[in-house]
Order: sequence, then C-alpha cells, then structure tokens
Amino acid sequence: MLPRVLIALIAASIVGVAVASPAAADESYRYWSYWNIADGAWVLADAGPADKTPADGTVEGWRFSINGISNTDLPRYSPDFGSVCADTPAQDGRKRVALIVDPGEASDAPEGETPPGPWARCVVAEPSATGYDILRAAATVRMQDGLTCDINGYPSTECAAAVATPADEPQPAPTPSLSLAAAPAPTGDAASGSPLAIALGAAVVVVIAGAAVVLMRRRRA
Amino acid sequence: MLHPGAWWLWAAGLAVAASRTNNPLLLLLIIAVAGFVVAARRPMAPWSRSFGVFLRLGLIVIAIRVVFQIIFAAPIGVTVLFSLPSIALPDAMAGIRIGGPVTAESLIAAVYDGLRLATILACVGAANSLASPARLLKAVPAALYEFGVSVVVAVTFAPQLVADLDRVRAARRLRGRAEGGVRGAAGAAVPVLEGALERSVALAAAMDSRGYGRQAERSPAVRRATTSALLIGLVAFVVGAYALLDSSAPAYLGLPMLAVGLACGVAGFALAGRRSTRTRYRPDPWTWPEWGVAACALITAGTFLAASSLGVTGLIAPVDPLAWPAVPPVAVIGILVSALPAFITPPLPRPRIPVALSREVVSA
Repeated sequence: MLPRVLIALIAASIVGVAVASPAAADESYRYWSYWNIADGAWVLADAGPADKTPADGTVEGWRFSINGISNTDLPRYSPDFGSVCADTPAQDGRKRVALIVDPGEASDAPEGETPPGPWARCVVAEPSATGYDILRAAATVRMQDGLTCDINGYPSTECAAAVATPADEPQPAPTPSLSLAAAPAPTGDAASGSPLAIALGAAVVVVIAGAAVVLMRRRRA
Repeated sequence: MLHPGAWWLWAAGLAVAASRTNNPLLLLLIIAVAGFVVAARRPMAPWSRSFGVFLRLGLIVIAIRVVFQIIFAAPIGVTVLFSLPSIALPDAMAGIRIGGPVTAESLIAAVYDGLRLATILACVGAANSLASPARLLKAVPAALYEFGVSVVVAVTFAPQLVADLDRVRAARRLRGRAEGGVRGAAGAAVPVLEGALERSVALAAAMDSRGYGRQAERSPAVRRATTSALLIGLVAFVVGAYALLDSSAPAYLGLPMLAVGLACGVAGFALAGRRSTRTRYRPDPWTWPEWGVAACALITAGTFLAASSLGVTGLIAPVDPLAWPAVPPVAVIGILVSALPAFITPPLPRPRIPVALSREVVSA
C-alpha cells in the first residue's frame, strides 16, 4: 500500500513541477500594452482592443515596455482629449477618439533598435469602431495570434519576446515632447517574403508532389 | 521490409517539424515529402492505402476550422469580405461572438491553422501506410504483449465482421425481410454479434491450448519496481512529448523529460518483459537503413526546433497584415532531408508474375 502511495506521489510531483514552473517565471516580457482612461487617469484595459468600443471623446493609449508580473509602465503623457483633438472638428454620425502611442524609452528597446518618437492622433471613426480599428486607422499594425506585435514597424521582428528581468530600474530618460504630426512611416516590412523565394519553394513542392503521383501510378500499373 | 519503429520515428520527426510552423509553403512541402516516401516505399497491402484517407481527413479538418472561424471567432484584419448576421451575446461571453463581419485575414489564419493540423494527420497517415500494423505489434515490448495480442485479434477480425454483415443482409434479402433502416439493422445485429462471439471464444480456446498468457514467477518487489518505473516513465514521456510539440513550453521540459521518460520506460519494460515467457519468431532487425531513417527524423525535428527557438523569420507566416510568407532555406533543407528514406531504404520486391503467363508474354 505504502509503496503505491509513494509511486503516486512521485508521479504527481513530476507533473506538478512541470505545470507549476512556467507560473513562477523569473522573466519579463517586452510588448505593447493597451491603456484606457478611468476617472481621468490611465488604467490597463481589461479586454483586448478588438473587444472594446471606445466612446466619443475618450483617450486610448499604447505603451511599449518591459513588464514582469505587473504592468506599471503607463504612457508617459497625460490623457488629455482636448489637446489632441483641438484641431479636428467633430463630424456628424462619427466619433472622435484621441490616440496616444508611446514607444517607450531606449532602455526598453530590443537589441540594435531605437524607439521612434511618441505621437498622438485624433482619429475620426464609425461609432462601432473598436480600439483595434482606431489603432489601424492611425498606424500600420502587425498582429500574431491575437497579440499586437509592432506598431509602425517597431519592434521590427519580435513579438512579445521574453527577456531577462532587468537587474535595477534604469534612470528615466527625459521624456520627449508628444508629436501631433502625422505618424512616422514604418521602416519597411521585414516579414514579407520575396516572390522569387516563394516561387522556388512552390516549384519544389510541385516537383516532389508530381514525383509522388508518378510513382503511385507506376506502382499501381 | 524496414522495422516499423523506424517509419514511425520518421513520421514523428516530420510531425514535430509541422507543429513548429504555420507557413503554408513549408507545410505543403512536408505533405509532399511524406507522400513521396509513401509512394516510393508503400507495400501492396490493404492497410497501406491509409495515406489517402488521412489526406481527405485533413481537408475535412481545414473545412471545419474555416467554418468555426467564420461563425464563432473574432475577426482580425481590415479586409472585410462579407458579413453574417450577428447575434448579441451577454457580456459574460465577451470573447465569443456569433456571426459578424468576416475578414480575409481571419479566413487565411484559419486555413493556416487547419493546414498545420492536416499536415500532422498526413504524417500519421504516412506512418500507417508504411509500417505494417502486424509487424508493429510484433515489435511491441514483451511487457505489453497481452495488450498487443488483443489488438491483433481486433484488427484481424474487423474484415470478418464486415463479411458477416454482408452475408446476413443477403440472407435477409433472400427471405424478403427488411434490409435497410432501423429494422434491418436491428435484425442483422444479433446474428453478426453472435457470430463474432462464437469466433472469439473459439480463438481464445485455441490460444489457451497453445500456451498464451502464461507468466513467469516474479517477486512482489520486482513487480512493484516494474510498475513504478513504467508509470513514471509514461508520465515523463507524455509531458516531454507535449512540451516538444507545444512551442510555448519551457525548454527543459521537452527533450530532458522525454529522455527521462524513455529511460524509465525502457527500464520498466525490461523488468516486466522478464515475466512474460515468449520467444519471437523472425524479429525485424534494426540495421543501417533503420539508423539512417532515424537520423533523418532527428535532423528534421532538430532543424525546426532550433529554428523555432532562434526565431527564424518565415516559420510563422504573417497574417495581419497579409503578406507573402518568407521561405527560410534551412527549413526547406531540413524537410528535404526527410525525403532521403525513399532512397536509403531497401526497395520492395517486385510482384512476380506466374511462369505460364510470362512464357506467353515472351512469345507474343
């Protein structure tokens, strides 16, 4: 009886170690986080951008930073609808949403990349537009498995990468002023493949599949 | 004939590679390579046609995935193709929606996901086509011998059941009884089941009279050690196999747990096998072709695991925004290595035509 209990305990501990270890992660992640306002202050959105429909006159924020278990890096600018949408008149039947995008500090950037300047836009959209539609109206977005990977090409290739937790908080750099001009163009699409490579790959697939079909016919005859 | 374990190892290598990518070009290449090896080395037996069945099953899987995406999942991307009437769900089910706009990006993402599953199914189908199930059961370790025998009995009796059903239905038709529908099925069920039961009892008596199921005497301590080793080995193997196929699991869970599981399992089987007193008749050898096939499987799986952990572009095709996927040459070479088993394994013997027929052909 006792050895069987021991065996069951050993087996359960293997499973327990396997399941519990990822939760006790000592690593942080570097990603774009989505912020809404509540009572005039930034608060982390409780749902994804595709599931939230911002009302007319609200402010949405995006911040790129390294976060561990908790996410405390707010966008570094106060959520002021009036200053962002001062020059954009209201249109009948459409809503105005102020969008503030903060790519974070240089210490948060991936290897070899510098964060572009923070910018804000007043987006005029359909009343049913979700936070996701608002972002896409103002910038080019790359998504993967429901995660927002890059906005306007920053970061260029990674998507919510895991990084070692920084040992200490770096000194905050002086905050650059918020640019209200048109968003900077993306630095080029790093993920798209060249048509030549795709044509070559497709040719290899067709050749091998053709050889398989020919062999199948010959064996049957 | 190659050892069936070698073919399953090769298919497992391709399946691991397929699980790490959703690039449609790479997945189609994996299916093409699997089909090529099946066409080259498939023996002429009834069970070796399962590759086509699994390919068709893969198409059904893709279709189901696309339909689910259209009806249930939230759309991604901006290129709206058409809109279904949407039904509002309460806020508690915020992540699920029924109907709504359908975008090209979400359809293509669903096709990529379905294609990945279809590729894994094709790898399993290829292994089924190439490895004879009877010889695979022969290679089952002695510890699982009784289990293997019952599977052999089931596999051999299935065609008998079908033949019985045909015979009973023909008899009912001759007697003018209902053949199809519920009454026909109910009328045919009893004779078929009775025949199957009689046959299985006769087989059991024959096997018992030949000495199947005898076990050697072993001490309780050895039995306990055997059971514990098997249990731990199985749990560790399952955890390791899952971690290998799931790209988000920590790295130390994959190969190390698999190795631990294999070691425990082998020890358990070796201990348990000494209980069963059976000898093998003409066991399949494991020689150079088998080692070559295993090496190809390891190279393919290793290439994709390394590429996935290094984040090589092209393994994940961009869906949002839609763009042509990149084609990493390392991955292509890794998949093409798995086509080598078509050349390094011994070719199957050609079917011999009868002597009389060959004389007529020569003289004609």
